[in-house]
Amino acid sequence: MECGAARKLLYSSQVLHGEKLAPAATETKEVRLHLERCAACWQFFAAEKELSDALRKRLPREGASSNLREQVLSRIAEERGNSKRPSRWRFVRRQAVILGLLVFLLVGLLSAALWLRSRHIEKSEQLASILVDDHARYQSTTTEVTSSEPEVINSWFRDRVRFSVQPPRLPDSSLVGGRLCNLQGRPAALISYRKPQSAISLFILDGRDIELPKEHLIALDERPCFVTAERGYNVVMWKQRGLLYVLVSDIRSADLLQLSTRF
Amino acid sequence: MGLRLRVIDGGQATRGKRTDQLSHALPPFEEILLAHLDSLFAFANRLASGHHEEAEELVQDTCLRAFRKYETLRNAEKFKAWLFQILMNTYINERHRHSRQPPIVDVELSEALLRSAGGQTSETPEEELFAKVLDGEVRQALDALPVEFRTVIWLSDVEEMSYREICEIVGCPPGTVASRIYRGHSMLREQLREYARRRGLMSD
Repeated sequence: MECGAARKLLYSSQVLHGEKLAPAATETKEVRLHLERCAACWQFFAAEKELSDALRKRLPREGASSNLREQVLSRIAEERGNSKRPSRWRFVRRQAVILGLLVFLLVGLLSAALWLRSRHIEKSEQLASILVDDHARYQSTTTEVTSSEPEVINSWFRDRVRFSVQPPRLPDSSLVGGRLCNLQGRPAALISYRKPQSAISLFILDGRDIELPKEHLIALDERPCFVTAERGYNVVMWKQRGLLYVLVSDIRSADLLQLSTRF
Repeated sequence: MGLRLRVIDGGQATRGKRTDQLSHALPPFEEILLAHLDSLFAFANRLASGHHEEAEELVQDTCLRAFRKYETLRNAEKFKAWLFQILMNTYINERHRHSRQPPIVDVELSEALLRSAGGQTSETPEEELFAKVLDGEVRQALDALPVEFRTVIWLSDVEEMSYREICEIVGCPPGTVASRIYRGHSMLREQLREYARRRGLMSD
């Protein structure tokens, strides 16, 4: 092995500096043999090694000042705080999202409640409209049972509806009779009364799933009555013992309300 | 002659790999950083040619960058080389790019170059040479070297890092690192002789 090759091999493999990169075994053997025979190469590596050692001893390794240590730690602490800030921000953002969802849910619920309420109004008003139609069309002239006796009418309805129909006697009005109505698939009992100038229809039906609207309610003897008007007819509607009672007539609302107290 | 040659078989490398795979847990960043802060500053100080303020700024930037990237470090045993690499990159990115010095031309360590180094045997031995110069002159001679040579000499001779670690830090292949060390040593010798001659301790 020539001097150049031996020096390059040992220098490159950092044997000089105690490096672990080892040349291949055969080359190692050749380098060893070369160094044993070549004083120049031995001296070359000795000089390199001495220079390296001398530099290590003579070059000052100034340490970091306490001020620098404090500054570094302070900046890292600050950075650590900043790195936590996004997670805090994420927390706030998450809270905002939850709050937003809650608001959305609340608005949704309110809207649903309002819609349901409007549906109730609509349902009640729709029902009132249907009953007004029926009243206007027949004006108490069409009955299936004609009698001025409440018991007769009660008896006639007994097998036809699931609830008891007990028509009261109304002042200044005569009981005409009754018939069975079908209000959109819902059976209802119609009792007809007649005043000298007006007809009064009393509808009785199962009202368990019908809620009276909160608006347009008049409390009469602590009983809420829904009062409305359509096409010149007044309507008074109330619930009693699970039944819905509806009075329809062209007489005044106040008189209809007064009549409702008879039930 | 005090030269000790250590030629170690490949088993070391294998054991090293196994250790790498086993060590995953990282100590708290501040703890491991403080253990290497002196070395980091000393290296930064040499990169900055002894300008303390510049070195301190470099160290602070390096520490912050290292803190942000700490979770990417796989092996705590490689922390020092990893930290020095960040320092080197920070130095290159933030300061060295503004330098007007042209980059050095690297030459591979050639057999011809090394063969020609035989003349050193007739010159002043290293121990005698270093006895004739002051510590400040040794530092001055190192700082006068182009930063590429200064870096590898510091990492190799003072920090006693392996070529592999130095390669990772400076981003050069081992042959280039070896070449820079050799050429850097030659330049240092020449500079130190010059100092000795100026003080009349060595003849031309």
